[in-house]
Amino acid sequence: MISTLFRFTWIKLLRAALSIALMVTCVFVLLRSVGDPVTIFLGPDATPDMRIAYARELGLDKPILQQYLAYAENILHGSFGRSYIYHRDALTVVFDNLGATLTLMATSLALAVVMGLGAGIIAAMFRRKFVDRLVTIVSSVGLCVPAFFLALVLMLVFSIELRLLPTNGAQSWSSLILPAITVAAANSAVLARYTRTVLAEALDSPFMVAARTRDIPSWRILVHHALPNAAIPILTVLGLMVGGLVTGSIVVETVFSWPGIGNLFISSIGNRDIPVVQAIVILAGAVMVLTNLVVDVLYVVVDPRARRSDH
Amino acid sequence: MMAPSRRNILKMIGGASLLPRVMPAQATSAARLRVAMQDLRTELDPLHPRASALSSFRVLESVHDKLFSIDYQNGAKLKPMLAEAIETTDSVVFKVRLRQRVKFHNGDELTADDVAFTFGPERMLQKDAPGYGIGQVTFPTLAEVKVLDRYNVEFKTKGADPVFWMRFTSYGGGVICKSAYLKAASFDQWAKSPVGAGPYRLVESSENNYIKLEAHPEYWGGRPPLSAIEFRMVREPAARVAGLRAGDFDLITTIAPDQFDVITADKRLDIVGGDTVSFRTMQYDSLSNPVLRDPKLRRALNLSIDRQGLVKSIWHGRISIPRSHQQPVYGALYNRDRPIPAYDPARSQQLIKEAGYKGEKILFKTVGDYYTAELAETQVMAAMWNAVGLNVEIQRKENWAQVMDEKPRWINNSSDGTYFPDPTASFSSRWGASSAFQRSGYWKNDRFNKLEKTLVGSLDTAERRRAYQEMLDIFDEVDPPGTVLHSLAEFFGKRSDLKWSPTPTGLLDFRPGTIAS
Repeated sequence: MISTLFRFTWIKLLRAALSIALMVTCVFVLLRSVGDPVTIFLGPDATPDMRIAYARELGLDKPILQQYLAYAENILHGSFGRSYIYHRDALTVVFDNLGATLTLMATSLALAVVMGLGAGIIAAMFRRKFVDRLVTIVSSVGLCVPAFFLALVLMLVFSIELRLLPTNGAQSWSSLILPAITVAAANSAVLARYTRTVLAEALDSPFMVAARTRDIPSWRILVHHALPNAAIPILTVLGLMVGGLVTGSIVVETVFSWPGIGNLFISSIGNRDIPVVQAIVILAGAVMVLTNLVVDVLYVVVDPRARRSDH
Repeated sequence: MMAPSRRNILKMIGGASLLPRVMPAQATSAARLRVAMQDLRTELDPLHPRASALSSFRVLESVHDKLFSIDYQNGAKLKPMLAEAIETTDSVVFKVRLRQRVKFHNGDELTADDVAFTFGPERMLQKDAPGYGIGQVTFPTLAEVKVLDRYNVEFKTKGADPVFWMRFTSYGGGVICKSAYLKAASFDQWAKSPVGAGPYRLVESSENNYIKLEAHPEYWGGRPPLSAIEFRMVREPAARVAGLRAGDFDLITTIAPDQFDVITADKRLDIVGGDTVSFRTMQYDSLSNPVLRDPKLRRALNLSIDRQGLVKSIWHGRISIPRSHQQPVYGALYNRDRPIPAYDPARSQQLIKEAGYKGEKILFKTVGDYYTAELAETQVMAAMWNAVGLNVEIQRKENWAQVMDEKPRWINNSSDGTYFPDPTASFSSRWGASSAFQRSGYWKNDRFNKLEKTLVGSLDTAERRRAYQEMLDIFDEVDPPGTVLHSLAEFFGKRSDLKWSPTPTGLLDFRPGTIAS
């Protein structure tokens, strides 16, 4: 089993590396195809002299191929370049904002898992009954309502009308509540729907009937037989969710002025701070690729059938 | 405003500098103010390239004092600040006498050495100095600065500059502490924790998050009315309004007209601001674009804009339309008989015919959200142009490079910031021979450029006025490079019990006497 796992992991690692290399190149090309960074950065009132001086200072006066090679070489050395705005290493700038985003991510993920799994399990256990329909309706609403709108509704109710929670910032734990609920809403809806579907399928399987006829308690059937069988699709969704959380909270961070990577991302795009934008996109992409890699490896651990597969 | 005469000694001392300051009640003493802004930059040196945005000027106003300021409440006269007087005999050499016993935030006394360093080669004047770029915008004529004694400094300009003293009141003019500057490892590091002589000093800042200031206990102008100010960045306009309504903020900046009703519906809140002395303009590319080359067509564009309708419908009638590119605070240079830009669709249609326009597509490029209500105004103007037979089509662009770098350029929105009361502050610098506009090849008019030399260099006010008014004729009628739409409006939401209003330049002044509740 160990050699199969090793070979499997090795192939997945190579694919992940290729994905990241492709992403690095795409980010470089795309960010430079939307317009001259110097004009965007300096705005409409800059004189030609200022533009030339600025291009020279940032190395943007060199041929594009030379810029790309320098950029790729820097990334291989772990440097994403010097931020045009902050005048220090772009990665350091991103890491300075990472703490706030991780706090928001962890809290919202925990909320999403508790609410999503809980609702999904309850809906599956009472499938085709009122509770099931209620969970379906609530999760559909959670999926459909845009984060921006939900954020403003929550602000209206809890900040403006009730004056219980702050509308912005990250000064205290109370500032975390509204952004975390907003981010968690859509994720818990996705989790609830997935959990309900796969668990209901597992609970309707013939081996469940066999388990019930053996008088195994319901909780034991759920925990030891149904949930493990439903685990793989849920793991896949969770993997995508963790990868997406880094960038998925961009809108929420902006609305609540949460000082995390999402907020930094928006202001860096606005300022056309290309090194920081590159660093965030590549890091978010890398997190997505690596999370999927971990999930793929976990498949093999959880599902014996995957060990026999060549992929 | 005192005009320089030939053998003159220009004395702007004013009695004001010697009299005790008259201040309104300051019931807000020891109060904290929480301000939500759409953008926040933590570089707080006035010459840092990142600090040259309106949002930065609003913070810098509390951290740094300048040598002089403009008293807009009193005929836009020069008002002493860190300096007490400025004298010149030829409008080339200016002697500035400093106020004594002024303390910086670190307790050091402000001397001539600090002022000479602030405007000197190491920080601003030399080409490789970190503040050279911004310095050239505000002080393009400055050639040399030297210390005369502990409280006297001499400035020398490249040629006669009739408005040199006013330049000290514009952005980039904040005086910094030389010894603190020299201790910093780099300009960027210094800009993050500057030491100035303004009413509030920096406590801490966090990029994209907040800037916290506290009252400067030794402020020369008396005890600041607020114990602390916290500027917070809240990019989303709806979130700023929500924060104000929730009581998280006392003051919020940059309110769009569609948010007025939401704010005024709450009795605890109100809106202040409106006109500033700056201009909201449009610009045309008549050099690289053959369709817009004929001045008749550009006149037609200008004549078909119903500015009053625009102001009434979009701005709830709360802003005004200047009489061309001029403001009453320009004093002797202002012509009160010049009409506001005309709305005459019939004349516009006639000019379109005379220009031989055949219905070619005219693009109106916009980023849509750079100026307040930009997209709404763009759509309204495009509809007005379509109504007179101009085939104008809006193109939404992602950024300014896409608006300005793709040739041929067409029509785009613009603004002309005015930070001291003279046309050189925004008219010549924005549309003149050395402006980015002309140097980037949008437009050129030899007569306009010749007159500009008189406007920026003549010491005779009547001569300057004649030149300026003829430049306005060219701007409005003869060969329009663009047009003035209306004044650049800045609205702020605030707690209604807070007695405060922004400066006519749209800045936030929290000095003694400016705020009460």
